[in-house]
Amino acid sequence: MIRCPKCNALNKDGSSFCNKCGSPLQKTQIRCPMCGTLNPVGNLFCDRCHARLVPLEKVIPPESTAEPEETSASRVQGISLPTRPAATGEGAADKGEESLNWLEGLLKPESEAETPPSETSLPTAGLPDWIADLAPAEPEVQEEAEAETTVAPAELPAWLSGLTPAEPTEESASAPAIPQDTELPEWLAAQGEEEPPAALSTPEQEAPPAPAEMPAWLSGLTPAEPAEEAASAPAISRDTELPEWLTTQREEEPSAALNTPEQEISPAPAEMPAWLSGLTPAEPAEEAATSALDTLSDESQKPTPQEEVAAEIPAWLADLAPAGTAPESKTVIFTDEETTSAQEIKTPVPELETEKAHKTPAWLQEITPAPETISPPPSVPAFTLEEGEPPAEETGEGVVFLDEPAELAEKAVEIPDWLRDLAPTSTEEAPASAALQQAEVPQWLESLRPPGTGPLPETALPDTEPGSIGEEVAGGLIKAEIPTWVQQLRPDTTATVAAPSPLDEVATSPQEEAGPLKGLQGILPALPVVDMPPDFQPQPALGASSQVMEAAQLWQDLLQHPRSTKRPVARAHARPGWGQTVSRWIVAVLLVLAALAPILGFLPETLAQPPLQAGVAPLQLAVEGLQAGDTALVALEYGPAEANEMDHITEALLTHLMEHGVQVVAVSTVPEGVGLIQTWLDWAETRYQPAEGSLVNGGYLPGESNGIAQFLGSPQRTPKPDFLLVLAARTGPLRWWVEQNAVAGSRALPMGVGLSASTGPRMRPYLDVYGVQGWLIGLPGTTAYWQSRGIRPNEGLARRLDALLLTQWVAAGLLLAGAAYYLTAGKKGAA
Amino acid sequence: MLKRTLPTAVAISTGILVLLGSFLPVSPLREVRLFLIQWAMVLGIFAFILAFLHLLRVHLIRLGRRSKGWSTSLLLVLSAISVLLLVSTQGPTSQWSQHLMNDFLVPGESALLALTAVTLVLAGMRMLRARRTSGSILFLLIAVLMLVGTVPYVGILGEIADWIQGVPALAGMRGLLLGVALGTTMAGLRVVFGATRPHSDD
Repeated sequence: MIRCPKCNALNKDGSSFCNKCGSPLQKTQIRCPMCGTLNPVGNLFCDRCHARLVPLEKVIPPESTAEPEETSASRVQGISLPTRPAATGEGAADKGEESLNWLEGLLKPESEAETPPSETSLPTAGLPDWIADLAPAEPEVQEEAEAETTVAPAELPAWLSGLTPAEPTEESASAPAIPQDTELPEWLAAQGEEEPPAALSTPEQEAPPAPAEMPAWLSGLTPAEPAEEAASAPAISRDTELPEWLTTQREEEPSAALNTPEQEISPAPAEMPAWLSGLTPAEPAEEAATSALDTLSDESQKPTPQEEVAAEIPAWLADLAPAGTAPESKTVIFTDEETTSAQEIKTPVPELETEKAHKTPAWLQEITPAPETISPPPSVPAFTLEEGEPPAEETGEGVVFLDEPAELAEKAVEIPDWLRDLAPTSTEEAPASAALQQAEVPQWLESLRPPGTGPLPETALPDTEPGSIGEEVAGGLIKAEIPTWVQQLRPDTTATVAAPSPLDEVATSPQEEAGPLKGLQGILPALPVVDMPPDFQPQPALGASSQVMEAAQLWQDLLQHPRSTKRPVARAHARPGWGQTVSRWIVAVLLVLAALAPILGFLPETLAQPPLQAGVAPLQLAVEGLQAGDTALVALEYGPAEANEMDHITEALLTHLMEHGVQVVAVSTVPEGVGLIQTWLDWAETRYQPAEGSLVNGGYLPGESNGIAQFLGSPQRTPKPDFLLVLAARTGPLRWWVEQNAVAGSRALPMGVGLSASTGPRMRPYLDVYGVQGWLIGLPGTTAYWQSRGIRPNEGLARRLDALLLTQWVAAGLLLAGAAYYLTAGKKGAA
Repeated sequence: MLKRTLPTAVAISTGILVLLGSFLPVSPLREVRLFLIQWAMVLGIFAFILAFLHLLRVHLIRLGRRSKGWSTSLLLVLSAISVLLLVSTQGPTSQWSQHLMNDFLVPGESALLALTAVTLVLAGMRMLRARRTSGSILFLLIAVLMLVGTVPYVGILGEIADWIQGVPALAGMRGLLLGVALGTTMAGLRVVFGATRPHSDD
């Protein structure tokens, strides 16, 4: 439910406007266009079907459009990284989101290992210019590429967002300018200001970190010599596949950096980001630089026992073919990796989309660099060497590779075509053989060290004295020169850090101490709802009003108190108003007066003139046709409640029967009818003194219709009746008698019916059935029956008939008055 | 299983036998039918006795707990037991039984019917207050015509009331009665075929 910030009313999820006040509501959920699932606002991809929720263009910050040189041809697309949208402005860099710590080794040694930007902060679309410049092209193209300082691909991780093109000039030490107004993490933003030599000069001063994650191609990185050469080619493990664009960076580094890697750096980060995990060995290339990449990813090569598993090579690097060396190529420092094949690299990548680990990012796939822009790496990485081929000379900035050509030769490195095209056409020699040297592992890389691995022995660490690039230092490691472009990636420790947001607090969680993620820090920031730590207290987006707080407090108090055992008292019915009471009394008084006035003799004469009913005459004729000695079966089917009305009907008909000397057999299917039968038989015997046995009390007849059928079908019980007279005030008994008598067919008895005024209209259909000779209904019918016999009805009957007339006329008048009042009064009267 | 199937089997077999005895009045079926009907009447009487005893039990419990309305329950229990004893010993046609009926039952039930008449008139007056539809107005009009036409002071009103009773009311009642008859037939057939089992726990 969404609470309106204006009126505090609750609205359904997904509502755009408040149902109560109409104010617009903050979107709290996004509905997936594919599957319709509601997702949190921060999601870029649907949690259910992984469809994109936010259009690509929406992810691109507006700052990216300020760069005209920002490549339009090489917009980074297709990297589907998780869900947090890129923050705009400097906050993106200052979010403190963790990026791949393994890249911190590319930084200056004395720089603090600041948390690089998270991969989840997706930069704007567009390839970094340094990638575009890596095409094997003329130097001038690379110079243009250098001018492109900022790229903000839409889906690149933050640490890649600040990647700038390589400096095409021979100032290999100069780092590519990184525009300050782009979305660069701090540590990237400061790269443009740092001097590469300075950065390279103190790699040995920095204590080598123990990275928990380190890709293979970074494992062999060593700090570049800051001196006379350009950034030396980094030591690249043969286990990793250097992308061609990395090999081109070695133009700034002396190829001497690419000495044969004699020593291998043991640290092997256990985890590699997904985008690096798909690194596969590059194919051998014509140039030494490309060939160094080609032979790296030999799947058949097994890691030596001493070697540690390197991080997974990302897919986009797996397809990279070693490009030719270029003088302007930047050097890349990689730590030595043991394994070479992508399959052997077991570094788990937490919180990254592993399904994309082996895919070449779209932003890389779309790179169509001109052949001239690619500068081969200054040095040939060892993993790209052909079989038996000695490591290439180090020609400056380049890549330093491990010097195990035999091993490298067994690897099969797949380099994508686009990188293959970036291979420099120049015949410049590939830098010296990839002499992987023991790189000084920065702290942020050291934190990525997989569990079970330890920091590099100090003997393996490079000397504090920066030696020349390619020079073997203590521990068998060859010092490598950090290319300037890598140094530019170093997090800027001097930049001010913005006030940590709750996300920052959550993101900077301590390292895991157990489990498969031991030694790792969270790479992605914890979602404020899902992943927040136990002690995390999220601040509500909307403050609760005082009324809401009071209601909540009341609820809490009610729930805390024990339940009362006292039962709630039912609310008394609402008493009627005085108007209803008066109207009731008026109606009752009028009806009573109308009923009592004739009975008490207040009327001078009889008012009622009852019409002759259609069934009265046939009934009178049917009874008149009975002879003395015939038997009439009389069914008294009414009770004490209807006796006041039915007694008059019974008297009229029974008198007629007795005057003709008919024997009467009285039965009743109503339990209380037995008493009435006896009463009438006593009356008849007293008045007419018939012969003995002329009046028979048949008693109660159980079984309803079955009993009637049984009674009529068993003539042994009673003498066969000659006439059936049903006196009923209820519908059921009349129906039974009529039905059972009609079923008899030819043996059906002639039937007469006497009904009450309430039963008559309802049972009129049964009065036209075969066998019913005649009928009369109510007091009017009784009066008409007496008049048809030529006998004046008694005074009591006349008075009752007048009372009935007056009562019915008063009731009709009251109904009309009420209808007229409520019709004319309208809604006011209805209320 | 026996608890569920036995009642159903008895009901189905009994219904079929009675129906066959009605449609085929041959010798064995006719006697079986009459025998089963007598058993049904005896069971009905015992059901009436059980209902009476249950009524006494409910009011005795209420009387024992002194619940609300216990005085009314006391009067009911006393009258029920006294009439039962009186009629059982004296008979339903004795003087005391007739006195009870003529002097207590008849006035009481007549009074209740009289109150019903007042209530119906009041409800009719307020009907348009609750529902102002053409059906309500037509209902009131017909009611007024019947009231003044049943005992007419003017002859034409009687003819109108008689026509209303003989034509539209008669047609409606016939339709209703046909529907009731068909429904009753279907309900009985459902019991005979076992589709409806009111006698079992299903």
